Amino acid sequence: MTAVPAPTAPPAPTVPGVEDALASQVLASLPGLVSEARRTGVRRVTARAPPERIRDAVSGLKALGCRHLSGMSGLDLGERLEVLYHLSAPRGIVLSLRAAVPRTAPRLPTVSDLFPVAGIYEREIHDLFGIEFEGLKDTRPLLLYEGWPKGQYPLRKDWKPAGAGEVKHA
Amino acid sequence: MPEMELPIGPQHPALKEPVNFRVIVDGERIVRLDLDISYNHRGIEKAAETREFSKSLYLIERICGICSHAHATNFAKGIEALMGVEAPRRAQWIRTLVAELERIHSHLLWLGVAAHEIGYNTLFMYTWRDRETVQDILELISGNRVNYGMNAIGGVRRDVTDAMKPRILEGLQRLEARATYYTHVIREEETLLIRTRGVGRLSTDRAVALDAVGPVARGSNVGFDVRRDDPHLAYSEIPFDVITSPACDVFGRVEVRAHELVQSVRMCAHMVENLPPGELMAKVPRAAPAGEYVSRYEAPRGELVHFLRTRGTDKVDRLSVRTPTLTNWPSVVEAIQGHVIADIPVVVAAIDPCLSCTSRMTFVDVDAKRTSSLTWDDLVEYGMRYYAEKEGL
Repeated sequence: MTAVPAPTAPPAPTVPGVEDALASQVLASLPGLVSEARRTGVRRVTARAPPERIRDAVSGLKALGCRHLSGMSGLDLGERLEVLYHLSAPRGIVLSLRAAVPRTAPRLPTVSDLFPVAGIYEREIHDLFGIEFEGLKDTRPLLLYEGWPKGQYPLRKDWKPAGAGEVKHA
Repeated sequence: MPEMELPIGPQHPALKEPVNFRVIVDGERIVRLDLDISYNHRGIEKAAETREFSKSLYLIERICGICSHAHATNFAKGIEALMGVEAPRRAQWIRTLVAELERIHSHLLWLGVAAHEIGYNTLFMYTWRDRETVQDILELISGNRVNYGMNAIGGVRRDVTDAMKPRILEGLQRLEARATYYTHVIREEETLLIRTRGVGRLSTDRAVALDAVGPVARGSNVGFDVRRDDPHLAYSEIPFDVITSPACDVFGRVEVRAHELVQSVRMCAHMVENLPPGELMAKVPRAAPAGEYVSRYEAPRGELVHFLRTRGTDKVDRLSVRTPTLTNWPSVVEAIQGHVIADIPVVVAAIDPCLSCTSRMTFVDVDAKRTSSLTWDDLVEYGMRYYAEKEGL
């Protein structure tokens, strides 16, 4: 690259229906691994995978062109905890693959060998939601300091910070 | 020689990302790099669950001091998507204008910091002087130099008036000349070339495999830019190019940012000249229906992701923030391996993690249990001395 390129044109607009096309494609390509695939917004698709087969589902989606893991989010839904894998699919779509685990035994296989960056996200979710990732090599706390009390997961809904309720927001 | 552990940081908690590095070295060579970011977890995600959207917006704007607009805009557009409203076109353009001005200020700041790390303080002084120009423009528009407070749920709080336009364009004209000048400087200045070429190598394949984002990915020739790939705000209406560099090293990351400066200045000029008329705010409901949305944004450091979940109330049920620096971490770890201690400042700075003011570092001789301390400044100076002796710089 030698010269500063002149701006060419704005990005191409999204073709309507790409989300539904992706949803049908993953349902057809990964039967038994991916279910409930549907559009949730412009370039946004969600789908569900059985927790014990999450690795197969993620690697199947990776083979279908979801080459980038944009992030992982934990969710507290009461009886269940959920982990969302936000995968960047072709054509700018984010496919949020979700796996639910029971609150009493929150365990999921790691995907850190498929996406190395997932190791960091899994450590974060372990700190904040207490979900164990089986096979994860590095299980040290990432966000919480080493003196943080064991078994306290601050982003679970039943966790309240000390002094909560005393603070009034204007 | 036995392997040694070399902890760097944590830095001062007032800084944006207090981290501690543990560098495992074999003599001069870096074997492994380890990260500890547990020093200042602020619990913003939890705090956001207890505040109305309009108050969360201010909280989220304070996640970061450099890309505050990125966080606030990403959150606002996510909540708007969940509410099913769209900010007016003029508001989208103003948001985009401030976003690109923020990118200019962030890249100029970074270029200065990177130059400072290699002892090239002339460039540091130049870029930080030029950064004042863009800071003045931001202050003219928003009233603030940082944390602009431009966003509201449904639009923007301040207009860009016709009276402002000549002053903004005058500043942009100066910035375009300076940005173009920097694209030449980085190719010709020997200090910069020796300290960045071939340093911190990250091949295209590895950048993809390690999920690198932003200028780190684009510096390794990965054409990933959320502005083009997942257009948000007014990016679908504004001409721009995704800048990539085939260099795949620190130089590539410098080159991408320098050329992005030129692009952003041109985009800003285009937006000021063609700002569409109309309202600044859409009428928004107080609450958002139950739903989930993954809000993406190309922040100065790369892809920023907010996952938002609402349950029909005026608060988020869950806000999950994934910042670009965290994602780029595995790339640094890989890029620094096999390099010498003298390269740590510039390789780490090349992902723009804003920790260059890291407080102190300790050398630990594992066998002898001896400890000695070095400040980040000492390390920077050591890097310069190392290259002065080696390359005669």
